[in-house]
Amino acid sequence: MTHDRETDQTLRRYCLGELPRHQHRLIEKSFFEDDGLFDRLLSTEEQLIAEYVHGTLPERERLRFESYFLTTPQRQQRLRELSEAEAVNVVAPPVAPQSTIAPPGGGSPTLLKRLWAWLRNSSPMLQVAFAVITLAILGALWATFVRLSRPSPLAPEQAANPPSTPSPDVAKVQTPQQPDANNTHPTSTPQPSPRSSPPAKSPTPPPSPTPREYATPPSPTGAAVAAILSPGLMRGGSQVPSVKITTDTPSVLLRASLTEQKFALYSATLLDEERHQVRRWRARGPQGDAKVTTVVFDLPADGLSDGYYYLILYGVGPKGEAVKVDTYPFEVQRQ
Amino acid sequence: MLLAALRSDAGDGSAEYLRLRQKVVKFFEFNRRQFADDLADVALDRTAEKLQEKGQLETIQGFAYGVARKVLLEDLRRERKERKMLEALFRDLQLATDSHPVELRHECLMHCLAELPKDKGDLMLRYYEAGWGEKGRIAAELGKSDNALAQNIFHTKPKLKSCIENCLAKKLIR
Repeated sequence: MTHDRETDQTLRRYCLGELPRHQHRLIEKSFFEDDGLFDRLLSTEEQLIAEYVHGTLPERERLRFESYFLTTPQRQQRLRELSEAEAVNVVAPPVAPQSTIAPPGGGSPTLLKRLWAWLRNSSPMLQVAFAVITLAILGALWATFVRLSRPSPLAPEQAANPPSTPSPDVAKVQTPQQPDANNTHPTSTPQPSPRSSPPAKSPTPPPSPTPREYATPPSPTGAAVAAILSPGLMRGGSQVPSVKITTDTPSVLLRASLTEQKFALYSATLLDEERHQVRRWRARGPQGDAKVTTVVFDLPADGLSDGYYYLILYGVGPKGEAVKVDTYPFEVQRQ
Repeated sequence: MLLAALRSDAGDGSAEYLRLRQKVVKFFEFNRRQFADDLADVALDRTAEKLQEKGQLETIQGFAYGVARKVLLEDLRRERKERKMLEALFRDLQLATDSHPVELRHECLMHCLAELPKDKGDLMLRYYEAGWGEKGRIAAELGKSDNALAQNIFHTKPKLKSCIENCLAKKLIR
């Protein structure tokens, strides 16, 4: 009898992971070879779950049960089954991510039921007070709803003065250093190549990328893709702009934005991710206004494959020497 | 083969097999493995293979325990390696490594790797799982230089980081 109790206690400690390692292994080896011991182990496990469900598990064992025993999905499932079968409300312990997912029909309805039961058993005065408070809360919520649903007096003004949008003829890939306000506007639009005839106006605007993507949309059939590139090998978590091209895209215009205009003429080379030279452009003058000055370099789209590229911009010095100005990284995505 | 070896006078061995399987599953459960059933299948398959190789075993139950123990150690090693990779990746992305439970971080990482284009997701995983010297092998396999591979990883990280941050934030709210 004493021996049995000792064995049960040992099995209990095994279930809760409280045995020293050598003893833990000994139990495991034994239950593989001894069916009787295995049955007792299963019933000990069931008993532990039942005690937990009924709340009769001693504090120390309960903590151990939650932190050690209940860490596998199978056991959490078993606990749920037993809880539901016995209609006992168990508060799921915060042991694993599974516990963050609310079980279907759990939580709030149980709480409401408890609240209702408590209210029914309470004094009439308390019931009246509860009703008044509830009505006051509902009234406040209703007033808030009515106030929020009224049209704002600012709305017409805002409609008359919409936030400025980029010029439709400038396609733009923004780097995160120069994001547009709130990242809400499309970061780019396709631009016709100066060599190609302008595309017919489409009644619907081209799809815009999601705010966190810095990408050109794929160009409509036959239209060139233009991208404004910002300088800098962005360290510390900025996203590289993407230039999305399709098989129909004839050419890509790379507009390298200048932080300051030091030179009258600029040349550039394009390197692939292996830093091999893909293309070299001759010197040309910058374009643009006081706000944004860019140097435009164009190349056929079929010369670009998927991957990262680096546009190296050089200023042409007074003696014709090339002075490195900046590096403009971007990614090409063929679609 | 395993069924035949477990066969007794009372039956065809299927009841004994199920019993053995239950023990192996429980063994993994008691060692807190998330996928006890899958590991039990691995252990029993290996037991059957060994049985086929050797022809006969003294006690199948005891042998199955030995195999299950080996599978457990392998799984623990895999988990340790995966955790190490996760920590390295989170450190590299400058994400806090102690702000969320490891399971949650793992879940978000896997979700976000799946969000990346397939080749990039696979590459990130391989890159961070690789030990010293193995990164060069990955680069060679892809026909890239070490530097180009590093650049590729460097450019993919910001996207992965923002996805993981969003995912973790959503999980916390939920």
